[in-house]
Amino acid sequence: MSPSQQPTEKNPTNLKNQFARRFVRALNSLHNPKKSAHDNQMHRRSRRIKIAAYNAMASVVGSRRTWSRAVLWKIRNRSRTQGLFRNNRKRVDHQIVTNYHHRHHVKLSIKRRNPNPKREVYFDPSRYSGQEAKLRKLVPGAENMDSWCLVDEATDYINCLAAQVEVMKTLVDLYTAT
Amino acid sequence: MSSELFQFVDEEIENLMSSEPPLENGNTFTALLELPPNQAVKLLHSPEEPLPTPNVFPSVFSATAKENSPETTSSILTLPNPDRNTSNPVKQEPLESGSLQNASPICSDPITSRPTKRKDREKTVKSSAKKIKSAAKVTEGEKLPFVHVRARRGEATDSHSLAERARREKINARMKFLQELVPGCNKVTGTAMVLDEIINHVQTLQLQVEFLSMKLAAVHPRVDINLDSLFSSESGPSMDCNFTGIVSQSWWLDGQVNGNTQLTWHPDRLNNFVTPETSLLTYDSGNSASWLTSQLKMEL
Repeated sequence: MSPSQQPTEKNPTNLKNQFARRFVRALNSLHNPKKSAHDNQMHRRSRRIKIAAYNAMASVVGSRRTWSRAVLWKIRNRSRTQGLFRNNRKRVDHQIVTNYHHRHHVKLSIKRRNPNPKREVYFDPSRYSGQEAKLRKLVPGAENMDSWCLVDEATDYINCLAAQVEVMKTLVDLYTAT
Repeated sequence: MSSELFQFVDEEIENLMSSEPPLENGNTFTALLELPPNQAVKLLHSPEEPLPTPNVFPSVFSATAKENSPETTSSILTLPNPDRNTSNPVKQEPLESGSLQNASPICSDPITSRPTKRKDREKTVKSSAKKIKSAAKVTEGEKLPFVHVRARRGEATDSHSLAERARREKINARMKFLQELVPGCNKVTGTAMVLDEIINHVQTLQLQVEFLSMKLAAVHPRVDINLDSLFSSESGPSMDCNFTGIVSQSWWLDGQVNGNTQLTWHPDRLNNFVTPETSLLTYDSGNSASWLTSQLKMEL
């Protein structure tokens, strides 16, 4: 990379490269140790690959963003209950874990410290119905955010999703070409 | 972070105190801010009662503040305002989730525009806000401590609408950014349509991820290229362009093996790189290149 490039241009390629690295590693560990006879079913394999992709993306972004924290939390919760994805746990960065737990506890404690029930925010129409609500459901971890934060998270999420899709496309083409 | 936040709030309180506004019986947040700290403590503990005449509790406010700063910040900010507008609680909620950029507009909003019922109260609020106002007017400032909004000509100067306008402008700025991000959104006008497009785009992307993962599941076990070792063997200046380098490299090898011209296609897809490719190719000269070709030959 030429040093004259501006940081804004560096960011998408950095994102893609880091995501690609993690994703490929996840793929390889998904397929190498276990024999293919383990899951012959396509949908199970594809589901694992999808989860690996989201995991890789979220761990690249780390704890910087709410959606990535929510995604990582969901996946790790799921892995804890199902006990299937042991590989992902190994790859956890220690710093991210400690950061993550701290913020997760903060998130939980916020939810428990419920605001005054007299508040009308529960019935705020723009939050729980309409298109904003759909956006809240789509972006992970954005259920209780206000509008500005929601839009901010949505932009970052769309950015990362687009990068993820592009990397996966090139990977697929790479694999199908050979 | 909450201690910083609390110091910030403390400064604001002192600022407002210096302008000596008249006291009021209402239990609003600006009333809280414009009171001397002792009154604020009273308000904290008995939010529903009207204010008595000022009692003297020297430095109780700061003392309790330092004890338990997260608790007090949350209690300050979650002061019930049953008859006030509901947009403010909505903003106050995510305050604790930590980013100061959220905190600053929230703290400034009560200062610049809190609902008041008396006209002279409004005037004092605005005048105090203007007194404190700095020269910079911020429309999209994320890290500046104040969001000062001046009423434009022909617009309502109500403190309500000032805050609402500031908030709307912020959100609209972000929506514009989103519009550029989402393809095909420039022609559409209006927030509703833009939101629709955004939702559509996110759903499309998620579907694409699922579809691609299915494709990968179908393709992957057949061709077991161990790219991990390729990634790990690379080192030095080309780490950043690993992915693009390696993909192009394998395509180059593929071109060697199969003799097709896929090399012409991928420079459009991959971003940045001409130099790392050559460096990679020169680097791996014998080892991984031959290994990769042998892998390919074994699998196919």
